[in-house]
Amino acid sequence: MKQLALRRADHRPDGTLPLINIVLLLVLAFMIAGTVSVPLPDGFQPLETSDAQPEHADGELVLLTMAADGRVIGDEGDLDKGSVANLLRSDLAKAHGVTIRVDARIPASRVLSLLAAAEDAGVANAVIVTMDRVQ
Amino acid sequence: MDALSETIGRRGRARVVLSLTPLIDVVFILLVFFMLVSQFASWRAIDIIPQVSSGVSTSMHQTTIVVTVESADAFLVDGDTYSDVSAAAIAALGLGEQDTSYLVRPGDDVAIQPVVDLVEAMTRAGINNLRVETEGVE
Repeated sequence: MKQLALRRADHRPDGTLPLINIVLLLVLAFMIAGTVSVPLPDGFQPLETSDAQPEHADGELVLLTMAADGRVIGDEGDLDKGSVANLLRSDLAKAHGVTIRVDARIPASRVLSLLAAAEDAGVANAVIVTMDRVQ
Repeated sequence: MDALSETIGRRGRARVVLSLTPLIDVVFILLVFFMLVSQFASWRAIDIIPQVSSGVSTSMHQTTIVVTVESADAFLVDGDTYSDVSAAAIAALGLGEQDTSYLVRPGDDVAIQPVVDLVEAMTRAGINNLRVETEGVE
């Protein structure tokens, strides 16, 4: 009788299966709905607009982030002026464009200088991206 | 004989226990990774055309009106200060003539947000020939 009870216990469905199912679904949701990109710096306050066009990124563009303290951050961390200039002159930047995420508090002159540098380097498609303003 | 082999087969299969623990570990690590690196924010592109202040204007328009951004809620047009940075107020100024180009000039240390707000309001008010002045490459 005792052996029978033990055998039944062996055949009972594993209680962790629903957990695995849910976690796998969560993984799928993050993989499909989320975008893997360079994290924003601490305290980043994005520019806000009301009626900007959705950005159609092709996934290979050069992404730059300008923090509130003026740092320019690329895929691999902080960039100095020379590195920014090299990046803007790269074939990747010229072919796919440059997307710039800007902190709203940074002086306009710095952002415009970066845009001018991109234009100067021959980047035809340098855009500033913003977030939708919460009404 | 068939019944015996079936019983042995069943027992043999029942003894193979697949451990789910490594699978759970891997799936959890994947979940944590995607939670940390995923971003759901949808970014939107704005069209800001810089014009280097010392450069020669490529515009074919004869008249250029300079709009200076003084602060978040003040801008200057032809020496007059305005505080309402909305499309309706800008449209009421009577700007937007076809043969006129507009140059938005950020004041010293003015943040980018008020400049973008003004450019957006001017575009909404029907002004398309506008550029934003920059001192050039740093």
